[in-house]
Amino acid sequence: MILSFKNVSFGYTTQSEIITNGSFSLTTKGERLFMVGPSGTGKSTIMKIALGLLQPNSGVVENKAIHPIPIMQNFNASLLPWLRVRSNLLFGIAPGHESLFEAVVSLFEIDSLLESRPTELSGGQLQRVLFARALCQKPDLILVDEPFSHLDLPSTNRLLIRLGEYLSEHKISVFWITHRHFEAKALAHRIIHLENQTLRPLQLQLLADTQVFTT
Amino acid sequence: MTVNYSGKKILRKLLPVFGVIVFISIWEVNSYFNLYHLIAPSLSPTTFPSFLSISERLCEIVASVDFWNAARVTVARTLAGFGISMLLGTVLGLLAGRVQLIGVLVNIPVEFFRNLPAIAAMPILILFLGIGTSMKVALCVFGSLFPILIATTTSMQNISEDIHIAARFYGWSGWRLLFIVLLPSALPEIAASGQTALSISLILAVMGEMLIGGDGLGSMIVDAERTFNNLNLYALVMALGIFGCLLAFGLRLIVNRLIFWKVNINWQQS
Repeated sequence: MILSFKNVSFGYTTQSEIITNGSFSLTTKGERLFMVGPSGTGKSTIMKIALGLLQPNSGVVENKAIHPIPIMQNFNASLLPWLRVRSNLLFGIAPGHESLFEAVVSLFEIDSLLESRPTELSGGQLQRVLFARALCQKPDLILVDEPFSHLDLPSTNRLLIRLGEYLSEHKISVFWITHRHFEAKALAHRIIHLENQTLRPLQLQLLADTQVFTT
Repeated sequence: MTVNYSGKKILRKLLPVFGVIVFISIWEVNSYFNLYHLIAPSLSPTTFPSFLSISERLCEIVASVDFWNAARVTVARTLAGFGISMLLGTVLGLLAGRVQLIGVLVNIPVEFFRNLPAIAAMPILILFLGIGTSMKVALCVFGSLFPILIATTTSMQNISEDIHIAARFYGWSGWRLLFIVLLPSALPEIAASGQTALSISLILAVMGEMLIGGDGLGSMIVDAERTFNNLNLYALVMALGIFGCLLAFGLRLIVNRLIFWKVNINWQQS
């Protein structure tokens, strides 16, 4: 068991709930669970509940990951503009534990950006740096919210294939929020769908035909 | 068209200089024709000397050792007061912004002291420190501390949620969190309040010297007034104005060089 929601209900006010009696779980190491659904349904809120940043009104949330690493939506402000990209990637990592740095940098093709400042990067470059920084932390679980929304389709597709290999190799569990179905098709082991406060599992093979989460 | 455009550009560059020329011209015409006499006939002709004669006197004063000794004292007091305020204001601001208990405890005292006219506290400072330099510097600190303290506290409280989340999950803590994340986040705000603090510090340094006497440009100005030496009076005030501009300009130069991410505040929020 890595992450589980059991009959979780949450609402910022008592009148309007974002999720009612929602249950799902990430059970095995290296499993990749995707959550999809229309925008504005509260996917990001569920991510905050999973991280313990918000407490559910009822139900049980268990996060047993040893080193969970989040990439929040529009996480740019968490990059420190007074440090170069290289220092941003390595900041907070204990000395001698930078072993993944080279591999991650080449995975995201950000070698040429290492000496730049975050403010000099485009939206897509920033998102690659953010993801690279998360992987440098040697997480056992990553929780990501629309991590490649500013990347164009061909770049994302290329990246997703290599990222999938990396995640499998390092047995990193993934909780991934997106409304772009091709991301889920490329990487997901399982998919859950959030709409009208209800979470329900979705068949992977249905993705191509369903219109539920058009971009 | 191109010529016209570049001509406009040059004109726009020259406009500030033009403003100075207009200002000086009005002054000169006014003093040459004694126009102020029409409004206030009781004033003596020495009340409003011409700009040129003031400038001439300024050149003479600038050549004297006494002037530079006084200027050195005033600027040193200003910078000492400003420096202590920067250090103290930042440390206290970090504490008040980060430690909720301290923030709540100092809230009302800070509100009280920041609204108290600093000069009114001078007699009390004299009780503790006498009338020497330490009192004058303390007065500068008393006036310039609060803008910095408040800016630091506010920017600590406004640290973005993203930074808090990253700190919690990406292992940022201790001195690294303080010196590599929190302090640089607050520096643009601290630097902006520093501009205000520096000019307050100069005001109070001169005020202290004017009221207590002794040394410094402030007491030189009072001496000029008491001996009815109006040319000296104007020239010294002009010199003080120039020092004020130079100090502000110098600080801005240092801040822009050191805090290059100031321009990026909008980027962070986007």
